[in-house]
Amino acid sequence: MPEIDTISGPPAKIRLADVGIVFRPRDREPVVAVRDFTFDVPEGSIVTIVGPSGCGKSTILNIVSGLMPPSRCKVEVDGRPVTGIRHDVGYMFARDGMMPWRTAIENVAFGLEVRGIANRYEIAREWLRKVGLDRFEGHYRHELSQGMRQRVAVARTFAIEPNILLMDEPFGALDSQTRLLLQELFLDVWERNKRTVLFVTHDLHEAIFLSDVVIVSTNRPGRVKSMVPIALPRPRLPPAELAVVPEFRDIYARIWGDLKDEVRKFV
Amino acid sequence: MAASDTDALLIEAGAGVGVGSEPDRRRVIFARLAVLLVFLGLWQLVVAIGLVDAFWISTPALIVQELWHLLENGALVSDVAVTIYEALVAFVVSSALGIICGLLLARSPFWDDVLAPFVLALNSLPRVALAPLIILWFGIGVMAKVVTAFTLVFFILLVNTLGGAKNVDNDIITIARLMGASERDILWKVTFPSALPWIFTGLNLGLTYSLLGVIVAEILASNHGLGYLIAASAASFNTAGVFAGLITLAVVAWLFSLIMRKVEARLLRWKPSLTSA
Repeated sequence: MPEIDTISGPPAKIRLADVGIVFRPRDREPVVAVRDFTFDVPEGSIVTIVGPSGCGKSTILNIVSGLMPPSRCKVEVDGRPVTGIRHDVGYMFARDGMMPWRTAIENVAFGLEVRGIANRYEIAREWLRKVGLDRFEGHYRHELSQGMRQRVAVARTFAIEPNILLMDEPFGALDSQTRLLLQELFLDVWERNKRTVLFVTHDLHEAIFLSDVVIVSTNRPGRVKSMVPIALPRPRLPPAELAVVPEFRDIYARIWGDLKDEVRKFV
Repeated sequence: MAASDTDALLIEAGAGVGVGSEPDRRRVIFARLAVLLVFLGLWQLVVAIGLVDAFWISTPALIVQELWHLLENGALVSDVAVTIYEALVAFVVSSALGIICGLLLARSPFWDDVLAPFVLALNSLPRVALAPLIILWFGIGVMAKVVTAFTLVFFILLVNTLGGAKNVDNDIITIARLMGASERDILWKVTFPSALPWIFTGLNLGLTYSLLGVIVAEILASNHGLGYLIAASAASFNTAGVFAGLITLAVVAWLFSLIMRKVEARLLRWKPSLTSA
């Protein structure tokens, strides 16, 4: 069993206890995607899961959001079990998910609109400003670059003031330079309100740069292999500068050491 | 170097003949008029030199005379008004019902599956064959025309809306749902706008077919409308009257599609292909 109380401090915002997920495809053997997955995400912190492809990382996010019921387990947010689709989560994918028929500001305002918030455009405009897109509020999806679309997604995600944030490789589809800028932007926005974030990525630099704790998952069926606290001071240095700090390199070496064997089994 | 050179070239190229693509446009319109005039001239000529009798194909001059005559006695205006009225009523009712049924079927995979073969069968049937039966049921008034057009237009909109509604990006639905959108929000704020380009393809076709259905019913049994004008003129060997009706019909159809394209360009301005065009 992995040690859970390596994390001390604030109470658990999200708690997973012995979560197991089994896929039962028709006409085929059931696949155990995740087994005995146990961890906490403390209030106001960023916890990132890294692991080989197919280890069930995204599935864990789907379970926390209530999109998918777990096969066996206990999943709690704010001490209450997740029973159905939650409407208090901000969710980001690698794909931007922008509605092409709405302008940037209308996309950001969508979540507020369905909640019936009257001054939604003021709020949306403010968030577009925070992600540096104030001059693009009237632009449609096809008029924006990939990086801008993902910035709209960041604004849209934060605009509803979500209780928790679930991020499924949100910057995975961007070129490496844009990705660095977006990571920095994301952290900058996060610093202002410190929402609880559960993040999933392949990118170790990204994981270390953003997180308070990095969870290394094993190959399928995914289990918690190790939990690595990232004791780097916040606010963090920009990713490019942080990458050359000796502490960063030590942490990177340790996580990669844990992850390498799992990835190797998979390749 | 490259940038300034290109600018200079562009300015030079533009200087002599005005700006942008305007001169090309004018040449196109001029060429179109030329094509039309040559065609009308040849038409008039083959009759003038006695190659074909005016009884069979009439002549542009006779058609203009006939149009003038029909305008003067008011028949043309009232016939056009009747046809447009019937076509628009049929179009609006059939489209609205087709879109609603398409959206409903998209929400219920079970009923979509159950009804699919019936929709396919009805959609494959050449529906103008139903016109005699419809006239038998509804008589020679407006209703028979609207119903004939309905059998055509309803299925076009149903099939297109259903296709569009099934093609909605799942990521967008997931995100909308997680942000608190109700099923009703998803339907009207996600599925409907996402299916709109497909719906417009259906509406463009539907408007043409609405006119077709109405005209067929008018030709078969009526005492008003452009279809009646064409059928009655042919029955009295008045080819100029037939062509007058056909030309008016072409103008009406052209106006319909023009308006449709304007509406589409306005509503779908978020589509990359339409804004650049």
